[in-house]
Amino acid sequence: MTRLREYLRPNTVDQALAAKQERGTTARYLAGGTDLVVFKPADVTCAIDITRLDLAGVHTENGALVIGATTLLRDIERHPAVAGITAGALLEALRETGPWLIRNQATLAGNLCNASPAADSAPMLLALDAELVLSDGRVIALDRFFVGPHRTILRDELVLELRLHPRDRAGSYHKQARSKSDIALVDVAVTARRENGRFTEVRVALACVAPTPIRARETEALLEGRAVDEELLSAVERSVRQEIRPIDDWRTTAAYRSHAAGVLTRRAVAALAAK
Amino acid sequence: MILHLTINGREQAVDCEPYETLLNLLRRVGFTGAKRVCESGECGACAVLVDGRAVDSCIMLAAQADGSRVTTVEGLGDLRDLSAVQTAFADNGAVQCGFCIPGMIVAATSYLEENPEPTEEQIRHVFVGNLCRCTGYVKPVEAVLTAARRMRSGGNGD
Repeated sequence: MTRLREYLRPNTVDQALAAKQERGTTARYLAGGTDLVVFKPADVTCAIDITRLDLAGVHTENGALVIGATTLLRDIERHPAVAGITAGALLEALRETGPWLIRNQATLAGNLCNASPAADSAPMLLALDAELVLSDGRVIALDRFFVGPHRTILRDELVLELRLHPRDRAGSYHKQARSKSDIALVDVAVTARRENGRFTEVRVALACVAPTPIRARETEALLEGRAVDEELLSAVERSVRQEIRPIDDWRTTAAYRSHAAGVLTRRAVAALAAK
Repeated sequence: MILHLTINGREQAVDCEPYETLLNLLRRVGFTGAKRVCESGECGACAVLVDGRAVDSCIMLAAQADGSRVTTVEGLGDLRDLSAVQTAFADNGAVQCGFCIPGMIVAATSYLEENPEPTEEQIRHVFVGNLCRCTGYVKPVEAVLTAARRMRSGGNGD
């Protein structure tokens, strides 16, 4: 971004939108900067800092957790409502979304807008039926938000807030990576309600195994209303492998990702059943 | 563009380009304690405090710190008056080549303000963002535990 010529810091959402609409793709919204200032896209000549737009804050509303777009990861982590959601699996996912130094600067909304296929926050958010509220009034389910690697449905719209719907689900999350500071090889999140020993409202979500973070809906359907036994766990492991499209890259192979995704999903489901 | 920031307690007006990072600005005005290493927010050698939060200055535009209080490692203590964390690093033999140390000092100092009684696991979790080639993290982690203990008992270690 040595071609960055303009840095704007508007005071209202309307000012931010107007600035973005005038400049189109040569302008990017900037919250924390932990993606934009790393990638430094060559075609970006204007940064629109949105941290003065009063979009930070976490609160609960009718059982939903509402997270303002410019809320720092560190502040979400520390909010008293977060630790209890999925008995800590959401908190774990947030704490894996980059090291502490990054979480003091980065925003959760920004992590989603960056739309990495390996976004560590995305599986658990997908598994909690996350929605994004946009500046044009639309409310988009997260599983319709990602379009491809580093591409979302956004054009000039601003994300204003995220809404999560835990609905008393239990959850399990795992980030598989070569080291604690590395990008994931596979991420898995599973959430479900449990009634009479059976799973309901099952969500299975993964990252690093497709062009975007995904829900494994056929695997969810396999589990819905069922009690977990060895046969079902094996079926889950096979089903996940059918639903994903991993690639070879310089971190690991498609074969490893496929194997790990199946095993980790199986373990996550078994862990939930045991809780 | 002219930025107004407070660096280590002193208000300064600094001219910069929109694309300049906070790290480059700080080093340019003489605070070379923050090191330029990965320039991608991975290694933590550039860590500074911005409004009390420890961040990687290499991935923050200087302009983002306009109006903010910035503290570099130089602002935490110096040879005449080392901070508790700095003293503990020296006392515990936690410094080898020294290049990662300013970032560790900044991160640890900030973390201890949030959590004055950390466990070893918690300190290691914080240091995930501070890469060190030399020490294997053993002595730096011990140093932070030492500093925390000393600070809780009211001492500075000297």
